[in-house]
Amino acid sequence: VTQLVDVAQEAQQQVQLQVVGHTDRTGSVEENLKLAQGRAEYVLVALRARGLADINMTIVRAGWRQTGQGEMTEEDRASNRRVSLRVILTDSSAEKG
Amino acid sequence: VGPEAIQLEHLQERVDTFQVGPEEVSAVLAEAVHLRTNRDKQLTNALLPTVETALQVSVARNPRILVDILFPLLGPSIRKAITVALRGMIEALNRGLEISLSLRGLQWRLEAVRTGKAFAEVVLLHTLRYQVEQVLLIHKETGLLLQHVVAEAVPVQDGAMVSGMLTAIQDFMHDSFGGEEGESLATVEYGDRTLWIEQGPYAILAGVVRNVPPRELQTVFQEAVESIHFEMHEALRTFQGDAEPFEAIRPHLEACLQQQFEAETQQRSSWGVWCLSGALLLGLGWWGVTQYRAQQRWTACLQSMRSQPGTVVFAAEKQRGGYQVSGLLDPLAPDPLTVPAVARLCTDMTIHSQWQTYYALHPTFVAARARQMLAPPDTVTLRLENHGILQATGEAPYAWTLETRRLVRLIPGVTQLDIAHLTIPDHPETVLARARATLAPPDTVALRLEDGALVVSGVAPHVWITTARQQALTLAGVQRWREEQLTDSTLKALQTLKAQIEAYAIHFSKGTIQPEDNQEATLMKMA
Repeated sequence: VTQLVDVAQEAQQQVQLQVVGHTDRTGSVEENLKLAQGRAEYVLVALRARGLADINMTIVRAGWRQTGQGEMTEEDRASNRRVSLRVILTDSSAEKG
Repeated sequence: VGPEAIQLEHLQERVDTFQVGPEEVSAVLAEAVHLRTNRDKQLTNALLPTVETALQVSVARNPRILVDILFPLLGPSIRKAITVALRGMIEALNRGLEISLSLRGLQWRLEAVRTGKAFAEVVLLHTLRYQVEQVLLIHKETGLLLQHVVAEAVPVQDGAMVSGMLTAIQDFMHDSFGGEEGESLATVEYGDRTLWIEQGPYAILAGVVRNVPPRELQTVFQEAVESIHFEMHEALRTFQGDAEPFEAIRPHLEACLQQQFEAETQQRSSWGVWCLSGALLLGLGWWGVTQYRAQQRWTACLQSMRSQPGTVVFAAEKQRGGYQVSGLLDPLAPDPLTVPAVARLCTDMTIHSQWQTYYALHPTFVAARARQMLAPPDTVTLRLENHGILQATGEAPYAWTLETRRLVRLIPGVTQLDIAHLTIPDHPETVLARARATLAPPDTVALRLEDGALVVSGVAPHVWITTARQQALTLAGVQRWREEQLTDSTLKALQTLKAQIEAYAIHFSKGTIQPEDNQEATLMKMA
């Protein structure tokens, strides 16, 4: 992300990171949303702790709705229990204009 | 008495045997002819038929003899005849001119108009001293007309009627007033005419004379009567009504048709003629001078028109009330009649002009036409050099030079375009060189110029692209910026990093917010 920010700056782009929390399909929706929220907050804090304090980051609770694949096996469920980053680039020169 | 008797006998014999022989006649012939010729013309008249016959016979036999005789006389005779004829013609001309041009002539013309008479008759009345208008030869015994001649321009009357009336008048006078044998009427006057009567033994010669005849005319009439009686004695004596033989004596009557005019007062006529001639000459002179000056002015006017550049006059003629000029006129040339120098020479003239358009090759018009068609910018100067080379100097847009190259072929009189000394700031090569120097593109970038657009292709950092995009439009000759297969290497790298980051995932244990083991490395890569 640090490298991305540098390149984005060179390309006159603003970087926003969305920290997206995912869960498996077990449990209720509310529980999963809380769980996704908690997991995303964890990563966000961890990234800030690792030098990304000035990066605009937001948390997105995706829960099980945005899981990438079906849960046929335990491995599938383990894969869905994750936090990923979504990079949003916006043209800073256009905003200025 | 013996000898005397012998002499008397000889004399008696000579008288008894007297004959006039040729020898006797030849001894006295010359003297006799001389004496009779001096006395009267009877001998001449008697010899005339014989001489005429002899001449006729001579001519018929050998005309050369008479030709040789007459030859020395023919030349002078012809010359004299021509001289007389010319003199008569000149006199007639002079008389006509004098009468026509003199004040008196005008008065006579008015009189002719007023009285309804012919002008010739009026002139005759005023200038005629006398004229024998007609002559009649009348047989005395029978009163018949033998011959009748009438002067020219005199109305012909019936001669037989006149002779009859005259005979009747004579008889009346003789019967009324008597008189001795041989007395007869001599003259009869009526108005301005006098009837002259000359008596002969067998015939009367009567002449109608206008105005008062001179006494010499009587001698002419007497000689005519004598000659007629001599020649026609037998015919007159034995006249039985056939007047044809008297045709031969017609010349005697014609000799009596005499006339005489008053001598014109030289001074008066000359004065009138001179005055009128002078006035006529003055008028002619004034007219001639006026015409000459008008012609001179027209020539100068025409010359000035012809000297105007861009004007070709190929027809100029004088028409009623003015002049007609036609020719060719360059569209850039003014109508020559509006040019002050021409208008000054052509003032007070009515000139109708008809011009057809043509393109003059005069350098002035070629250069002007080039400026009109090429519309050069203010920074360009056009000059026409020798041989039709159009030279452009200064600074001009590249587009103008392209258009000029195309149009210059259409300009009459221009053979070539010279732009060697013309600065073209937006020439593609110049513009590209300037763009490369200013924009400093990386080696991976290619530049070219198309229709004023700077076309950029290749791979370049985002910073260069954005900077060059703005700077290029400030370059002379670059109107637009166009990217063609241009890759922004910075954005490409950014997308790559984005994809890498979004591919990372931190996995968590089931039902917790604690990451699984070994997630720290991933977390570090993410950051």
